[in-house]
Amino acid sequence: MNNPLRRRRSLAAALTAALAVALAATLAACAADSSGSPSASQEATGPRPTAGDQLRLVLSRQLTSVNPHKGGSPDSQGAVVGSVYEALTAISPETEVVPSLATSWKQLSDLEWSFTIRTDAVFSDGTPLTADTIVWNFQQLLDPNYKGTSGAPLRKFVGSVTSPDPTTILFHLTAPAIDLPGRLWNDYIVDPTFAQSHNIDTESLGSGPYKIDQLDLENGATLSLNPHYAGPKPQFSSVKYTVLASEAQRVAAIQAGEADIVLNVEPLSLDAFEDSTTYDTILGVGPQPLVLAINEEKTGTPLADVRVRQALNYATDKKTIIHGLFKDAVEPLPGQVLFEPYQQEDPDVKAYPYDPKKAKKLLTEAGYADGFSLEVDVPSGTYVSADLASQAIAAQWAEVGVKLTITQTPFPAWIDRQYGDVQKGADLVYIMWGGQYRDGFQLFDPFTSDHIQSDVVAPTFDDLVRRLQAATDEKAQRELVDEAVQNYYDEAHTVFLYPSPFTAVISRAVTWEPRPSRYLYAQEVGRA
Amino acid sequence: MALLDARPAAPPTLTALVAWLRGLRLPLSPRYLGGRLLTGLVAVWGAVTLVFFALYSTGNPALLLVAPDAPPEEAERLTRLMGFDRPVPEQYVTFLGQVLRGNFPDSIRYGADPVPIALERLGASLELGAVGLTLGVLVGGTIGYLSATGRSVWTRRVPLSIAVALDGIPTFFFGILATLVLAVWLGWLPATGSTGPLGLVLPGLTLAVAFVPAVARVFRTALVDVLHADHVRTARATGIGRGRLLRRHVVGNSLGTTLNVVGIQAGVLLGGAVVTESIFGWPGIGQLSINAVQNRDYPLVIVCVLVIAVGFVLINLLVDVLAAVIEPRLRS
Repeated sequence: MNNPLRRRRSLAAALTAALAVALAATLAACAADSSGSPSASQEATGPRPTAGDQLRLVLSRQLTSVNPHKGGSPDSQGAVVGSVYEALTAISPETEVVPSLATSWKQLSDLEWSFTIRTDAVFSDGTPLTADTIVWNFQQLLDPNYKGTSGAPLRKFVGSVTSPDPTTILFHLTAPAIDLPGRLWNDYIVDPTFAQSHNIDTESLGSGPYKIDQLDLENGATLSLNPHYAGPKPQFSSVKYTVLASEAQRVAAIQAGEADIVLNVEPLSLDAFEDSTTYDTILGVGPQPLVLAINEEKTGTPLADVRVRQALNYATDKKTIIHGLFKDAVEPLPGQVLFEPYQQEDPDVKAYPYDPKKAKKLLTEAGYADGFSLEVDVPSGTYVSADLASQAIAAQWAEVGVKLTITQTPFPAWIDRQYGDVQKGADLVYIMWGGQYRDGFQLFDPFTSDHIQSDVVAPTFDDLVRRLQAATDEKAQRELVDEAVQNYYDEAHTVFLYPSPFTAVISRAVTWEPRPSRYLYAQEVGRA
Repeated sequence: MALLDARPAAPPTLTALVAWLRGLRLPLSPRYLGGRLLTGLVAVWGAVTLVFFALYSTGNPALLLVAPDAPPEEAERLTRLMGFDRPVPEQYVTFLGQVLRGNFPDSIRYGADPVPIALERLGASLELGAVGLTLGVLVGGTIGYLSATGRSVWTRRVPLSIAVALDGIPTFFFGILATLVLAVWLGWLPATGSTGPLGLVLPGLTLAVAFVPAVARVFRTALVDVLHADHVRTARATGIGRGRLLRRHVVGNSLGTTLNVVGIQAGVLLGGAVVTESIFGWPGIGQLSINAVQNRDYPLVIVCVLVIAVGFVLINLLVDVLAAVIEPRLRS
C-alpha cells in the first residue's frame, strides 16, 4: 500500500507570483493525483539546505520514561524507545506488520503461534540477544505482579511463551488472536541482566539502531549509534529529541530553523510556512478515528435510546468542522471506524449525513421533542483543535434542542473520570482511538462493551468481535467485519466524527517517509 | 541621621570589635533564629500536608499507566500494586513514616528516589533565578530611583510607566514575544532548549520582566518616603550636596522594604518560575514540578513542594536577617 501522506513543498519567495501560482497549481494537482490525499501541495525551489551533523527531532509531549515494557505515546517516548529497542515485529510507515527480531511467523493452530528469530541481534554493550532473552522478557510481561504495563493486553490471550530452540519462539494462547504479530510490535526486548540491575525507567540497553547518551524526561534525549546494531546503519550518527509541548514552541522552533522534523502542528499554523524555502509541510489523513464515545450505562440517560444516538449523528455537521479547522484535510468517518486508505471500508455503510430535520424528528419520536442536556468531556491540549470542534458540535446540537455542556480537563483528570464510576462519568467523551496497523481488528476493541474505557452496551457487536478474533478463514473474517460495522452503524453506539488530521513540517535537508502513526523513529530519517 | 551611620565603621580594639559584633548579632540570636526556623518547619509541614491531601484525594496516578488496550481489571491491579487503593489518611501516615526515616516513596515516572531528582534540578532554577533576579533588581531599582529622584517629568514618569505596563503582560506572552523577536526574527538567540549561556538570556530576561515592576514601585515608594523624612530635611539644611544626600541618607534607608520584596520574589522564584521554565524548556524544578503534576507523579510533586517550601523559608529567613542588619529598626 502506498503511504497516504506525501510531502508538499512550499513556494520559493523569489519566484514571480505568476510562476509560483502556476507551479503551485500544477504540483498540487500532481500530488493530489499521486496520493489520493485531499491535501494540496506546493514545491519550493532554490538551494536545498544541508543537514547538520545532528538530527533534530521534536516531540510534543514529555517522556514518561524510557522503559521498554511500559509502551509509550508516539508523541513522546514511543519514538525514542523505538529507536533504541527492537521487538519481534514492527509496523512499517504504510501500517503493515513487518519483521524485526522475528524474520517470519506462522499460526500453528488456533492457540499456537511460532516465530523464527534473527540470531545476529546484539545489545549496544555487545551482549547477544538470544531466544532465552526474548522468553524472559515475555515472562516478565505476562507476570501479573510485574510493574511493566505493556504486557497487560497480552495477558488477555497469551498463556505462555517458550523457546524450543535458539531460533524459535512459541506463543501458547489462551484465546485465539488472529492478529498476534501486529500486537507484539511494541513489546520491546531488553537485556535481562541489565534490567535486573538498572532502573530501566531512565536507563536503557537495547539492540536497536541507537543508544541513549543523555536523557532528560522533561526535555528530551540525545542518541548516538549503537555500534553493534545488526541492521542498516542510520544516516545520522547523532540525534537530538527535543520536547516542545506547546504549539507556539513548535512553530518558533521551525521558524528559527532549530528543528528538522516537527509533527502535530495545527493545520491552520501550516500557513506560516507556505513561503518557506527550508521546510516542506504535510497535511493529510491520520490513521486514528475521532469519535464522541457514548455513555449508555448511566441510569436514565436518553442515550440508551438508539433513536437519540442516531439523532446526534445526524445533528453533527462534520464537513463544516473539517473545513473550518482542518482545511479539508480529512473526510467524515464513513459511518464506521474503518476508513480508507488505512483499512478496507464496508462500502455498504456511509457516513451519517448532516440532517438536523431528521435529527429533530428522531428526538421527537424518542420523546425528547423539548430537548435535553448532555455533558461532553474534552481533554485539553491533547487532540488537534478539540476545544474548537466541541464548541462547534455544541452549537450544532443546540439547533435540535440538545444542550451540550463542555467540560475541558487536563488529560489525567479526563482519564480518571473515564475509569471512574460510570454514573458520575460524562455522557460523551471526545476521544481518538489508535489503530497502529492495517487489518488489525484491535481497532474494534475500544468500541466493545468490556473495554476499559468503554461505557456502551453493545452485546451483538461484542459477540461479533469475539467471533472475529477466533476466525481463521479470510472470507469469514471479512463477513464478520462487515456485520460488526453494520451493527455499530445501525445502533449508533458512537458519534462518528472524522479521522485525525496528520500534520508535519519537514526540513528539506532531510528525507523521511511520513509515518502517519506519528512515531518519529530516528533511523527512518535520511539526508536529502 | 542615617541608621547605617550609627554603626561603628571599623573595630579599632577588641572591645570595640565585640561590641560591633553584638550589634550585628542581635537578629541572629538563638531565640530569634529558633523561632523563625520552627515557624518555617511548621510552614513546610503544612504545605506538604496540604499538597498531599489535595493530590491523593483527587485522582489515582495508577490509571495513567494503564495501557489503552488492557483488560478492565488492569486499573484495579495497578492501583493495588502501587498502594493507591488504601484510604488517604492511611497513605498519609505511611508517607510521614517514610519521610521521617528519610526514605521517600519512589517517583512514579523516574522509578527512583525523588529527592536527588528534585535537587539536581535546583541548580538550574537557582541559576535562572539569579540571572532574572539580578536583572530585575538592577533594572527595577534604577527605574524606581529615577522615578523618585529624577529632575524632569520624563525621567520620573516614563520609565515607571513602562514598568507598570510590563506588569500587565503575562509571563508566557512576553516569553513568546521575546522568542519571536530575538530568536525567530533577529536570530540572535536560540529559540529552544538551554544551549549554554546564550540559552539563559531569553528565560532570564522573561523572568526579570516579572520582577521589574514590583521592585521599581516599592523602591520608588520607599525613596519618596525617606526623602520626606525629618532626618533628610535636617541633612539638607546642613547644605549637603544632592548626590551625597541621596547616597548617604536616602538610598540606604530605603533598602529595607525593598529587600523584603526582593526576598519574597526570590522565594517565589524557586517554584514560581514554572511558566518561564516550561516555555523555554529550562531544566529547573519549576518545570519538573508542573510536569510531575500533569503526570500525577505524586511522590515527585511532594518532594518538589518540600524543596521549594524549604528554600522559601530559608530565603525569607536570610532576607529578614539581612534587612535587620541593614536597618536595625526592624530588629524590634
